Amino acid sequence: MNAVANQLSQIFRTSFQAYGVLAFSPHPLPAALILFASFYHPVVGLMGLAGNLVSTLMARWMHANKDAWQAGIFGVSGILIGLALGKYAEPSVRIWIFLIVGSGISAVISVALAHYFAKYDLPILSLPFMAVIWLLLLSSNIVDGSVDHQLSIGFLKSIDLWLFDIFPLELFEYLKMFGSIIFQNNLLSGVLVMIAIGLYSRISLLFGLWGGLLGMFTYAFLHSSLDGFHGLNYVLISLALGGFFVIANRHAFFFVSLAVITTGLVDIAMSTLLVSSHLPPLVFAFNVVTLLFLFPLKMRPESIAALRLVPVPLYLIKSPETNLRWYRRWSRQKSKQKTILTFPFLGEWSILQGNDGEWTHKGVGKYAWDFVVRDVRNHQSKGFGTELTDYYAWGLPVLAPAPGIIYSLENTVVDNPLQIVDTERNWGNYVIIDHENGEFSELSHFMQGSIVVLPGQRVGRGEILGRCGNSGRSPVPHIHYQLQTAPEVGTPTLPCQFGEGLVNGDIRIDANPKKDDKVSALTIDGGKSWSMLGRELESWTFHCHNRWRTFSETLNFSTDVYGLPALVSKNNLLWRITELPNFIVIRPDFKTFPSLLTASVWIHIVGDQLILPKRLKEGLSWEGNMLTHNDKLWCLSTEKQAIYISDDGTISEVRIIDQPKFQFSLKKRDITKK
Amino acid sequence: MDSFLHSEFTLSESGFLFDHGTGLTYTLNETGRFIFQKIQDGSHANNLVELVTSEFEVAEDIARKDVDDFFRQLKEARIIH
Amino acid sequence: MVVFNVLSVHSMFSQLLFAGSSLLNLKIRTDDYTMTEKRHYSKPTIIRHTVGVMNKYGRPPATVPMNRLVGHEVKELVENYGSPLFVLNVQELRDNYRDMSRAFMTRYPKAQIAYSYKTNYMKAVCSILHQEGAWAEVVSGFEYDIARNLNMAGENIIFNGPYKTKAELMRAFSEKALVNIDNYDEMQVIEDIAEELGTVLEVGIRINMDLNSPPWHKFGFNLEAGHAFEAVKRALASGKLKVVGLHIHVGTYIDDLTIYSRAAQGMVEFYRYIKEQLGVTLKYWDMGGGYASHNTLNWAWLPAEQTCPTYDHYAETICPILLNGPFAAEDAPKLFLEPGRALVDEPFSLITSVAAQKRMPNGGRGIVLDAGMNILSSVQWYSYNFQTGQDSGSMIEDTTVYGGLCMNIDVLRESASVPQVRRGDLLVIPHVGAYNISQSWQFIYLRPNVIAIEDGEVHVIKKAETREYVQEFEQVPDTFTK
Repeated sequence: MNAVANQLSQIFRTSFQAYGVLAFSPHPLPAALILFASFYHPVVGLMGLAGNLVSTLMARWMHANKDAWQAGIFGVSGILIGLALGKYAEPSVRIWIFLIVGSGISAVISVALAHYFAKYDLPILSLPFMAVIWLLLLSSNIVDGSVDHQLSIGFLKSIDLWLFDIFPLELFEYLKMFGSIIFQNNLLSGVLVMIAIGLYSRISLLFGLWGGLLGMFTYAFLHSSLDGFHGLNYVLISLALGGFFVIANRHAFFFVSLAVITTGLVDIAMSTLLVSSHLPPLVFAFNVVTLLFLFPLKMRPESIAALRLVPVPLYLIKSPETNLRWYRRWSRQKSKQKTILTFPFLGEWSILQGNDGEWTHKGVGKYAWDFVVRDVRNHQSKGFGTELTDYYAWGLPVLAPAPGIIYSLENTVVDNPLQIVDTERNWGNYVIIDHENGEFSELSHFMQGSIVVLPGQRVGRGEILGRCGNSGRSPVPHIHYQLQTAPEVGTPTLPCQFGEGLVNGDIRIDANPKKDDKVSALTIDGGKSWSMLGRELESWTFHCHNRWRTFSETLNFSTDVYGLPALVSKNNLLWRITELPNFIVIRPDFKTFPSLLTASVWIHIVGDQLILPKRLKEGLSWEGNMLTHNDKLWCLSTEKQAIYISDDGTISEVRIIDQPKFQFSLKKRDITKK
Repeated sequence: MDSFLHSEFTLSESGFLFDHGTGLTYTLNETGRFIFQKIQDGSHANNLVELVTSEFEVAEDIARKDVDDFFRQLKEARIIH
Repeated sequence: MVVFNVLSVHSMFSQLLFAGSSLLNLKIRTDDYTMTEKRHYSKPTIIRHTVGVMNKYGRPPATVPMNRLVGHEVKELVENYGSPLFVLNVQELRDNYRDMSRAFMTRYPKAQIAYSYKTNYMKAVCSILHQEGAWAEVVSGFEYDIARNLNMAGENIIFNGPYKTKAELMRAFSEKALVNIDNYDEMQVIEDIAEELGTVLEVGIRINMDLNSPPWHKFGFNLEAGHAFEAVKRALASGKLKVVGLHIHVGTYIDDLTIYSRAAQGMVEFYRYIKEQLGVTLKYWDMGGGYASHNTLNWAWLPAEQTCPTYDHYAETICPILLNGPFAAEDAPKLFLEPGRALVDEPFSLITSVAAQKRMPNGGRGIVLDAGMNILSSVQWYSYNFQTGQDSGSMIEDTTVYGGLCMNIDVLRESASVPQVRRGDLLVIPHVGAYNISQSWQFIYLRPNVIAIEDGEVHVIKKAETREYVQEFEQVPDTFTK
């Protein structure tokens, strides 16, 4: 009994969702408004609803793609068929039969089309609807074109007429336009739909308004008047290409404008063509032009970050604002350093020359560091510094900064005497490590014969590669380090940071040291080992209190769109995990520009990232960047959060110290048990 | 010669002393040179102290002690009897 | 008459010559006498020129006076704090620690210095080193107590030594100190303690090797004879102890680096063996102390400036060998070092006054100082250098330096190059920090002030003894008094 109830509720929910999808606003509240708007003529509304249910059920019966089905896509054609039939035909049993059969057929066509279009990552839009409605209208001889023969809600109609008198025609038509999406021809529906769209996404609304306006002008330009103007194509295409299927940037603006104009042309042309068969062009122009404009974008092979017009992968589509946020994250991610680096030596060293240094770190070799050892008097050598062996750095072990495979090395170059540089063999003895993610590390100036690894050998983080020497372009013994994009010697360097380390005594997880900074690798003397990384299928729920509002977030352990381990949230917010040798860094993505309807709007920023030490020493805590002694409290670096650790080593609570009323309390729940 | 010096000596301005008898050489400091010169001139231990105190900035008792010690050294080196 | 005349002519001639020369001399003297001020005086000296090889090794010539010590006038220090006077250069102590730390930390992932208290356990010295980050290495309950009293946590104390009472061990284990076991009897006592405390105790085992001559076999279990392996096996057998550390201490004042490399090699091979055979995983290994300082040993051929290895030399010898052990880089056992004199010898100096000078029967010179073996017992091993605390001229002389005790053996140095000093003059003896204070005798004289100077400020870190203090614990029953 429960299962049946579950199923039914699912079906209803999905069908309900379809109303939102119709106006590119897949969310309950806009869906409700649109549903309501469709009931201006109650019978028509009912027909829409019926069609929806039929096509939804049909698609499900045909085992359509689950995710697509749950999004409500397959109900759309049903709604449109219902609404269109209602508009163009007299109400009768015959029509109802056409409705049901037609919806069923549209579902079949939807499923087939969706499967075929998926190869190109194109949406089916309302093509199934177009196919079916033309079939029906042609075969049933019921083309009529008027909606007046349908009963509408009396008082609403009177309001509409009153408004018609008040507003100038253009404005009236303009506002009505949105209603034409659901084949309504009254102001109220128009306004309702507009509100629905606006609630979901301001970007969509703006594009819709602009598209409609441009559309009116185009129509007027081509037709010399506004007679017979139906705004639906213009609005739909602007909604589609204005942030929904394509990222809303300024290039998209011009793209949409062009598309709208094209729509105008196609629509009028189509109308002219179809005059003889009495078929209304309906949304033909929208479908054709959208697909026409989207197709070339999807065909582009280059990386998305390089494009000006960025199509959004279908499975990622959320609101235009969220899409935009995703795009920004994506392009940042592409240029983000993939390798986590730690300092390639033992003990405390000092930076001789940093990024963009004054001697040799310039141009393509900009992003590099030179490390030396200094004593208490800040000298690099003892005595008078006349011998290489006087220098403290001479002969010290050099470590691998990250795991990888040794790509190439040179071990035979003679070390220079002091203050003499060998510019012919710049790097002297060097090692290049392939980190198997497109990034390579290069360490130079090793002591002759001191490199103890071989090409092809796999090395772990911190393994000894050789000894610090003075070969190559090196006046005094030092270690040179750089990260680059290809393994050849002399490849341009990549900007990078060291994943964690001590810089001038402060613990940093994003170390980018400058000249004369004192740096060393971080070892936390661990007592308990602790980790927040859970296993697949583990789910953590937290409750967030913000004075008068409680918000619940559930995290499931999974992988994100970039393929990295991630905590996937119920609210479609992304938390990304980066694992450093001694820390776990979790970046929550609350800072989206969401629609007013997502809860994250109400949440204050938790902070840029949560930094959790993997190994805890009893009684230690952090304050700012520093580890301090405290009882149970762990404070994290950036935003002064406090994390309470329970006895079994799991997080139990996160609090913001500055805002005591704001806190998360975490309860772990295993969703494998139902 | 009425000198209680053992043998012939040549003394330079800088304090270099050459013993003609043994062939050995010595270095004398300023005060030592002054005293030796006096010995060569024939002074005896007694009025040497006076001479030293009138020539140098030093208290009498210290001078006496030092001169005694110096004479002892000279005796040891078989320069004087 | 002719003979007489010839003689007289001859004598007259020579006299004339003599007079002539004296006239000349007179002339010079006249010139001299025209100067009204007296000349600067220094004690008259005569130095015979010796033929032979000059000592070409560089040492600051004894004739260069050291009249300032750590920025203060030596004379002033003595006026304010008396003589003899121990002076600690705090910055040098800190620098030594930091230098040694750097030498080892740049070569081994986890290195920790534990200061050997017995070298000099003055509170100020230990505090400074703890402030710099050193742990404490103690060899008795008394030293352990000093460490705890300085607020060192038990877990930062290493407790070594052949004689530890049960009470001391109980305290150490309760406070989570690191204990290195020296012999089976001690092991037995510790097992009893484990029983009482009801937990498995983590311990280290001290081993020794046939490295030097004479060999240091007194402490720990011998490696070559197989005793060390037996000891580890025995420790694990009872199930009450867990072996987590190894300790070796190769000697004292070792400037031969091959001894350390053989010791490190022995440790690594032994670890490999006990890991294979007994499944032991070490949390630490302790290479002990024995590091040399810049004092020249009595029997040494060359001066210490030439022979004393630097911290980097020791680190370079020990660390690469240890890194070859049977473990991954991040699981390397923590390396402990227990330096004593290497840190604390050089920062201390002793200012002493000349009490007397003597002419010995063989013609040599002797001077008597107010400091003797009571506060410089390490003259048994070291040949100290002496510098003057004031300008004492440039004439140095081979001198026997006697201490002030009324004991014939109290000779600080049989033969030293010392300028012409007199009673009341000051001498500065450098590098006296190790063992002299902790092993000083309360004999004949009261022990003197010890001051520490940092940033120009003088701190008295140990006041001179008084008679009352020395006699504080004595009691005289009435039956003994008149």
